[in-house]
Amino acid sequence: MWVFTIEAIVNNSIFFYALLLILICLGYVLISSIELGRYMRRNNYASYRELLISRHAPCVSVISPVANIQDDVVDHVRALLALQYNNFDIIVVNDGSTDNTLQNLRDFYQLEAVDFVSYEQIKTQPVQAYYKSRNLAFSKLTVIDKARGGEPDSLNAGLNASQSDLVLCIETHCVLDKNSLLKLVKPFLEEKTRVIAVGAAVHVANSGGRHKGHLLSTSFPKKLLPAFQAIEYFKSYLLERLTWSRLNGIHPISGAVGLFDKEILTECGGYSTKTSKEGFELMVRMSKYMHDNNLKYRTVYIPDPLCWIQAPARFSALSKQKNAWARGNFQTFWLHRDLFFNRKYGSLGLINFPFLFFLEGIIPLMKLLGVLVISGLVFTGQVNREYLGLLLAMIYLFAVFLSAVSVLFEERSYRPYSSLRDISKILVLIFIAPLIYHPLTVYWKIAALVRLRQ
Amino acid sequence: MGIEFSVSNYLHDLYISRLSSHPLYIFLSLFIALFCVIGIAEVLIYIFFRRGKEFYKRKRDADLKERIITMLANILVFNDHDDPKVVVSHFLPRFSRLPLYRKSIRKILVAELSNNHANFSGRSAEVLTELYLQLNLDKRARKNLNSRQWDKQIEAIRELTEMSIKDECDKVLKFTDAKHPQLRIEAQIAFVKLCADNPFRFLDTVKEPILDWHQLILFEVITKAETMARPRFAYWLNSANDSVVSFCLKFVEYYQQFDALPNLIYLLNHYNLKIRGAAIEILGRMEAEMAESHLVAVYPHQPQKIKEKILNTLGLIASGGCLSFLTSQAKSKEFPLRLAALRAIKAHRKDGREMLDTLYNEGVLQDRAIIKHILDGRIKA
Repeated sequence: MWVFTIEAIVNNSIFFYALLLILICLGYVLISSIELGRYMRRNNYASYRELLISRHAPCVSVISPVANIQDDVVDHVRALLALQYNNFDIIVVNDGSTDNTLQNLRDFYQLEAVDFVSYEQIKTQPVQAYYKSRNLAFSKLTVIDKARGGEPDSLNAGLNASQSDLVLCIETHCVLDKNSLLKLVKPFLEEKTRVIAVGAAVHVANSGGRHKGHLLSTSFPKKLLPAFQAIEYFKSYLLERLTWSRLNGIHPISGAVGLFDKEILTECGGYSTKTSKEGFELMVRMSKYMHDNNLKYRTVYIPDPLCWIQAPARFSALSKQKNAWARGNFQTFWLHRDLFFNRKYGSLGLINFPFLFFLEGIIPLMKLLGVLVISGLVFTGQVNREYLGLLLAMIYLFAVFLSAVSVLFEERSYRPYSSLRDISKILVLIFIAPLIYHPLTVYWKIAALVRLRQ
Repeated sequence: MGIEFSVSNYLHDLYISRLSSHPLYIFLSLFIALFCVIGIAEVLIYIFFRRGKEFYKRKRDADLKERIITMLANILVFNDHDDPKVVVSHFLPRFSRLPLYRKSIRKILVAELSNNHANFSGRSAEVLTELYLQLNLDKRARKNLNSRQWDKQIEAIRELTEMSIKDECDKVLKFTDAKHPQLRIEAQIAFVKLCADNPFRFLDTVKEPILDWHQLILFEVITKAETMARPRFAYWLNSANDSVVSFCLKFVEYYQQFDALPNLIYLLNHYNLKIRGAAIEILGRMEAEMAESHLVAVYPHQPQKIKEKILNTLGLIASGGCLSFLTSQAKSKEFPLRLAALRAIKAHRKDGREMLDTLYNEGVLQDRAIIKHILDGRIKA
């Protein structure tokens, strides 16, 4: 009787826990499919040609922090200069590079120091010099040389120097689609409520051909780790972020590409240097600011694949990245703990923020606890192995189903990896990922939590 | 084979023989697992089936398209001096032989007709419109105007506009105030293109906002059109619809309608900051000297963003009459105002330069830095 009770409790717990997750995920699938359909139908008729040539296009500053990338920096800036938009400038912030990053920029773009005065609304590490090119072909480019302070600090220095209404913050290693600005600016112009931030889909381009900073072709990563990440990005961007965009909730704007309303961004104090996942923390802070000031707002996510990144291909690098992201999430939850169940912030405090905490913070712990308990019971023979196997099979099949749905969404929208070979490879990998990659993601989150405690 | 046999036996046993004896959670788990398996299989089949179908369609459409392009090329080069009806009646039997009851063929033909119509003018365009009408291709588009689906309505509006079918103007006008933003903008674009004698009539009735995105598109469409009546846009500057005001402000500036200057000055007191700001900027770009005193008068009561715009505008007008006012603002405690005022002083050419020299000599370290900043031609103003 005693054995039966434990078995029943364990099996029922696993089932109801899995059922809860399944219902959440089905909610994601349902809402994101509606949003994706709506977006695709609306954008079917959108023409960007008018925005491209318009004198009324809002001014955008593209801010790109660079540090110790002497070999790539010239091509990186060249790709930015080739972006298709009528009214933009580029601010490259050299974050205390110790190699020839700055020198290469100075030589290639014929830079010389100028007497630039910026309105220091956000405190940053000291700026040593501002550079502009004497060649008119590069007049859009401003280079800031400052003491090392990290990526958020560099973005803040760029914000101080920007004179535009909108700022596009990007990472060094990302390659932007040449139409990125056109597509990112559109939501700022077409929403009735004030849009404070727009994010876009990020995809993995480890196996794509590159030439002078431009992406020539995109193919699905050949190596296993980047391939798993590519599939994870499908889910993260097309299911989760699209859902939260539809519900106007917080969805982390990726550090790789995000267009912001500069006024709100600076009023909020810019990027935080206190967390290791600035995008999420910033969105929470901006949302809080809008609530505090009784301002209506929207944060928008667009599913267009506008940004291509090099995903970590080595286990140690990926582990480090995931660890930092998970740590950043927990830091953000702690920094903004006043939001939890705070009626003042409406659905943001009552549902959205606690829900994200549940997903990011509680679920990994429950998974770990589940694994420990089940292992113990299996070891001591106190569990019906057939039923346990069936429950685990259900969880596995649902994970595969979810990945398949996200691949279907990509197939019906932009097809970042369009060849038949790529899609076949993806469809094989979605069966393997839950067995290898998903346990690792849980491990990274737990490890981050442990490190945070230390 | 042996393994397959035992797996199928086990599944049969699990899902049929023992189904009623499972606890509830296992029963539900089996159901969810089955749902997932079916879902995964459907996704896989769908993706490969869709790819195959697309490949076949692409191949088939390419052949058809080539045939239709050749047929249209013949009709276009036939004789430029003949009556379009005569030309079309000559070629109509050939086009009628196309299986136009098939949606895909009709779609390709309409797309090619539209493409060619957009690229030709005069007699050739008339021939294409005549062919479109005689093949009764307009029937579906006219019917779709009454559809309940906004995307069908948009496609119909686009098709009729591209083929210059002007008799549906009144119906299109109704859609210019539609609730659906995409339908609204498509109708507004169509209306300005089709109703050449009074293309801005919809501004009198539109209650829904003309979104910034739509303003931008409409502006480009209107300013690129060669033959379009240009009304006096000041007429709409007191519209109750703020988006109509901000839309018309763009045209006041573009067509340099100086008779609208008093209306612009009136807008300096508009409750909507966006409109107020736009009016100020346009006064500057139209170098409206008469507005200087008004700008200086309203300045103290404005929020900082508007103050910045006023200072920029005074710099664009640069009559010299406000130099002392600008000098006083160059000592403001607010950095953006100080910067804007010094820029405006710089715009006063010789007088401004002298004033900047004086301020440079009198100024503290930061003022000097700002003056150096604005005098540097490499830095964007």
